[in-house]
Amino acid sequence: MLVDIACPACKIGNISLEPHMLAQGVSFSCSSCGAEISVDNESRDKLQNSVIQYDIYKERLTGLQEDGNRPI
Amino acid sequence: MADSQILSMGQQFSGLPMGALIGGPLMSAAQANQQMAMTQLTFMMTTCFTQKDPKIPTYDPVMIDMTLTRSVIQPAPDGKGAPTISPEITNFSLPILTIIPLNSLAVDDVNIHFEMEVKSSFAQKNTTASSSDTAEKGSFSGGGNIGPFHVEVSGSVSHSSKESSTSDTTHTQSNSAKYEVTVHAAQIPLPQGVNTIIDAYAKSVAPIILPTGVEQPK
Repeated sequence: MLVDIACPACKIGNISLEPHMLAQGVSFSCSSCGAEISVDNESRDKLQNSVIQYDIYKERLTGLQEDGNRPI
Repeated sequence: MADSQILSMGQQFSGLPMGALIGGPLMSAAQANQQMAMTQLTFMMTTCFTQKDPKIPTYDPVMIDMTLTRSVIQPAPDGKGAPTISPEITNFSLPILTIIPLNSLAVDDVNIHFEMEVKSSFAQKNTTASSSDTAEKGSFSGGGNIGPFHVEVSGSVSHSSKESSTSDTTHTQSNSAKYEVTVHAAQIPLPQGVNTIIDAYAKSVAPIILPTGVEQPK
């Protein structure tokens, strides 16, 4: 699940982020200028918690989708 | 004669709760949509926003601190040497809403196929058999002398008749209909409002250059 954000440095290219990897300290670079973006150590826990909540949310949605698509 | 014995199909269908049959699945789909929307809303409000004061309905976006590292080419101080490349680090905050890939899930297709199965059958078998048998029989004889002759007369009559008839009638009728509901849930684009908020946050990532002498707002 990649998320594209506009590069704050060059404002031309995009930076594709993967939240799980970003929360683990991985850097992602701009496709245009090569600027690297990463999460500060202080914010890693906050992002990690959000990613876990996101996974729970996605699992719940998948369950709802399966329930909805189950033949009556 | 057979038609009066068979169930009237029109009568069978007139008793059907069509409102419940068609409206029921649609209501279920609407409820499922509401449930999915509420799940998304709950996730977004609890994970991506914080409420400082429960009494005040003001939500602040959860921000995470990011580091942007880019290379800067610096010319030699004396202007003669080789330029050096040094990393320039910029710290900025980013709303977590822009990092989490939200998506909307909704029931986008509800198919209701109505087929009703009513089986009505009627069988009639008529068997008519008749037979008649008649027989008649008669005989006579007589004789006498006529002059020098002797005469004898005899005769017989018989009659036999036999008649048989059979009739079979069979009638069968069957009608069928079925009821089937198909619901499909899939992802739909995010609401325009959510996209606008995310865009606004994403644009706020860009650094602002303050004029000289202006203090940074706190």
